[in-house]
Amino acid sequence: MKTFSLRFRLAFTLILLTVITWAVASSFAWFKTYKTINELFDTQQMVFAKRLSVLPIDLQLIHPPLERTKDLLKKKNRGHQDDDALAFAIFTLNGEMVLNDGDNGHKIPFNFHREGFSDEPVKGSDDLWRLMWLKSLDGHYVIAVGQELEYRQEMAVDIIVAQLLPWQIALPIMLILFLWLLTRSLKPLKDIASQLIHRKPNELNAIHVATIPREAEPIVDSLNVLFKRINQMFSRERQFTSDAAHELRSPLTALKVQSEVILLAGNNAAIREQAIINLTKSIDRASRLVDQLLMLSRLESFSQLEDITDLSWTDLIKQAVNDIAPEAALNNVTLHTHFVESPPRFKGQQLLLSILLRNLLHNAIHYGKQPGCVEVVLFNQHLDINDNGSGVSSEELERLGERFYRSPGQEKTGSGLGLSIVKHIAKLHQMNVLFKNRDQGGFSVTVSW
Amino acid sequence: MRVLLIEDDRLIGDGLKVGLTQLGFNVDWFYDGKQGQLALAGAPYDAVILDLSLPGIDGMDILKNWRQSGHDEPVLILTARDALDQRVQGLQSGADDYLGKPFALAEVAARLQALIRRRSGKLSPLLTHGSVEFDPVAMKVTLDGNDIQLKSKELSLLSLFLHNPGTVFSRALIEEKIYNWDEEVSSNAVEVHIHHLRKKLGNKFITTLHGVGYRLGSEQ
Repeated sequence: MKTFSLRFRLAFTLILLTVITWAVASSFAWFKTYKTINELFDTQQMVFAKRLSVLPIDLQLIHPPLERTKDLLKKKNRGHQDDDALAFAIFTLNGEMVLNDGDNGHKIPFNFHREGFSDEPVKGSDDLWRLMWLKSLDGHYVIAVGQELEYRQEMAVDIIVAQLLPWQIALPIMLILFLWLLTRSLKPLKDIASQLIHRKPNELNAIHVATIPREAEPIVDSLNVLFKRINQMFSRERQFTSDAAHELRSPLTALKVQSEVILLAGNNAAIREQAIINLTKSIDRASRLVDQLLMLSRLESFSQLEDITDLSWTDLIKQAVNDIAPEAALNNVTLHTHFVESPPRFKGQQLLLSILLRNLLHNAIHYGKQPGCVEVVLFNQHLDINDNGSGVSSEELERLGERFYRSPGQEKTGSGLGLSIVKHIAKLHQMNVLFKNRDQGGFSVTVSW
Repeated sequence: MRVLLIEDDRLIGDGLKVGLTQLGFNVDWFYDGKQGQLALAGAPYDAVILDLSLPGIDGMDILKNWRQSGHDEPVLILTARDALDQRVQGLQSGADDYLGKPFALAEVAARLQALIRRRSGKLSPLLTHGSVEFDPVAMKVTLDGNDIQLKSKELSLLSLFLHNPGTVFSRALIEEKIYNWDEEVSSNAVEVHIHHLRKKLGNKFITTLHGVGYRLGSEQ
């Protein structure tokens, strides 16, 4: 059995799902933010370039760089500036830089093809810059406004990270709450387990739990049904053992009494011989009873058939009649078989079905008329085993097949188990057994399928 | 001593009948409960052995019927069931003793002897008359301490007289007591057995009352 911790699995899944959901949501948010930032800065660059394009024409551009911001303003007056937020440079049409912002503007290379935006590396660095190119209003100068792309990306990341922070605090709290809730929900299952582990083997009453999750109810119900069935099986077994022990007392008594008679017989050979014959009979009877008890106990423990093969009723009957022929002859009973119809081959357990036929034939021979005749008649859906004896009373008819039941005034020795065995075998094969007196006299057993 | 045996099991019944006969009892065996119930009124039985698990009729019902109709013969119950309450119920229904299967033949005989003895008011298992001593359990007879060999009918006759000293038995009653229904009785069988007894145990052991019957002789 593969086991896993429900708590671990659920907690792990929860974390995994949260991380995936968060990652997906964050990437989406990043793209969205980055796009908005791009739009914002592009617009800003454009507006800035436009502002520069209308510089007075007579401006003397002799000192290309402006003062650096650092040199221009005292530190405390500078505000929260970022030195790579924006940079600009103004070139002549020949590419001569005539003015820059004094910070990063000097790095902008003159690479003017057309007016508009382009992404290019700048002098002294591999980093890509976003550049906006615009000609001045008089057409003598080219204005470049640039910004490092990485700056934009970092800003987007900063925003996302700021958003992540509350999650980092919420997630552990959520996880702890979730585990606590899970432990609470699983407690009934734990209770059941501890009830089961403390059970004695013979304690088969129903499991009792005050509250139980609906999802776990089927398990408890099934367990209780199982306990009930085991209990029934136990009492059946106990009953069987008790019945069997009592039934064995009679053959044992016979053995004991007959052996004492042999001792008492003294010189009386007739009495001694008769007692020895009776002793043998008693032993046969005891062995037959033990065989039948074992067979029945084995059958009762079967819930389904094993060693199923393809069988034909015709063959089974021929075999059974052949096997019992000597016994029939000994009792002056003639056997007849009539295959009126031939049912199709079917699946069954050969040994058990032979026992079924043998028991029924044995009964017909011994409890029918002697001399008499027994017939086996085969139809498509059933077979009949008839004798021409005196049948049984309606009261007995009802009780036939009960364990250890024997007809009143029965002279023959028997265990009272033969028909129980027949019934069990039939049941295992989904067949029906019906006992009845025939209208024309005699007893008849019908096995139908 | 004539005993009625009601037992449906052929092999047990046969063993009991043959064995008890060997031990000097005179046994009538019925394997049908209803016939057995009626048989009790048909002969002067000294005791009854009744199997409880009879097909068709409950042995306990037979017993109750007998007691209700005034039969007071001692009854020994045989049964395969040995639950305590059943034992109590059996004794309450009027059984005198109870024996669970499987039992030994010797035990059945001993219990029967005890029941019969109790009924005739004797406490010692040994029956003595003058110098004759009879152990009904071992079926042993001694005269002045010497073992005497008696045949089974002679033992039955001896047991009958020793159990009922002072009682006069007619020849017909003796026949009924020592012969069962299966046996052919010749007209002078009783006289022959009494003759043999006198020969083995002394002439005065049994007194003849002419025209009436026989009685145990006075102690010498």
